[in-house]
Amino acid sequence: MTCKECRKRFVEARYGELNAGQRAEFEAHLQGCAACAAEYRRLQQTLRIMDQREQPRLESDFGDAFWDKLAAKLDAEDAPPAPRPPQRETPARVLRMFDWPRASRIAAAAAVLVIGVLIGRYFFSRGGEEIPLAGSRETLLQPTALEVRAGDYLEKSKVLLLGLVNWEAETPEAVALDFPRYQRASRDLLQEAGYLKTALEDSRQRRLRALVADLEVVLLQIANLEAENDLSAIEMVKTGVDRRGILLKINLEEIRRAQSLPRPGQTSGKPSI
Amino acid sequence: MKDEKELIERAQRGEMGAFRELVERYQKTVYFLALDLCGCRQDAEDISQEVFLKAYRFLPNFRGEARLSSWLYRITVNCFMDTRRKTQLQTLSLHNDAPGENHPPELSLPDPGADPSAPARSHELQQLIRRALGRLSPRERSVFVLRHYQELPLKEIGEMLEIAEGTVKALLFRAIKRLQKELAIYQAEV
Repeated sequence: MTCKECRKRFVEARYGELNAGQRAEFEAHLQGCAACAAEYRRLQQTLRIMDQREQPRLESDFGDAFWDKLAAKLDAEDAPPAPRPPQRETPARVLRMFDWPRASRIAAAAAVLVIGVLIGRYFFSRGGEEIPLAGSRETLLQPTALEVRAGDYLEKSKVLLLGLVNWEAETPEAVALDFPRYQRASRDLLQEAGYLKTALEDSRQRRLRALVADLEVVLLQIANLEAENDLSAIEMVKTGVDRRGILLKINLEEIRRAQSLPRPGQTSGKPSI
Repeated sequence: MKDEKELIERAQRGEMGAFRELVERYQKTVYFLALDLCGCRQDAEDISQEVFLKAYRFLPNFRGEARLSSWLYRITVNCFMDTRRKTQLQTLSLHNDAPGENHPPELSLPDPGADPSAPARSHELQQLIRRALGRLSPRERSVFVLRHYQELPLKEIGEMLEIAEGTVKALLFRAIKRLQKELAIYQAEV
């Protein structure tokens, strides 16, 4: 036994928690090692001092007083709550009274509705303003125009994903997810992703390209979902969005882009579109 | 002495008399454990009251897999930790050296029930011990008190505090080394 091993066993030895074999080994080491023996003696001496700790004497009525106090608390717990004087409905009080889990479900349902409307506007009601799909333009856009197109793609993807991640099937307030519409939108965005990946290849926007690629995986999953009732598959998509931090990345990219755009009245060396 | 299992069952059925008997059986043990943990009489009383309130609330869930005493010890340690977190009990702590925070434990005040003729040295020793205990972190103190004063096996302490037995050993060893340091002056004198 080494000194290190011996010292590791001090505690168990002192409290009698070594088996016979370990005990014999421990004692044999102490016999031959003056340093460990001295260290163990010091430990025992410390504990002998701690043994002299005295508990205070309790008053003779400690037990009764303790019970009386406890019984009063138990009575207070069992008693029906006393009627409270009417209180002014301050905003903070109203907030406290609010049923937050229910409120959050309603908010989520409302968000899905709003996002559904936005999806409709973005993807299907814009007539001539629809995104030109891959191959529909004969030439590559200038870098700044490409950024605008990428921004448009990110914004639409974000709206779509928000609708999906906020949707909860098992709540009474859940609204039906317009599944075919989500899938059509995903397929359109996939075509755009294919174009952007190629177009961004030559630019220095590796981060943006990586984000487009991340989104492409999720959009592909949505486009290939077989049934709108396949809740586990929808959950898998939601988990994927969460795990990859896609919404956060989109937000960061939007912030980065907003910061790099010239403010009104600000002259910029960058060429305008 | 009535059978504890029977008392527990009756208390679980809502018999207040049975619950009172259980309280009377364990109130001193719980109080002294709380006192060792927090070093302050008032806090010890508050903690032990809280322990029995919790015991009353959760007794229907007690299945008798552990001894009632172990269950009560566990609640006591948890209450101590909670109180420590919530109100930052003014016990001494090695990590808490800010001015004004090193109040000596309340037990340094003369005990009303103590023999006034007791040697001053003994009183000093009690102060020293309480102060040394107060220097330990709450976890070190819990482990030390449960092993040294309550004589619970290391394994049981681990289960009670939901930590590995190896961690219990390490905490206990660290606690003793710290006590050794705190008591060094006294040890040099004797």
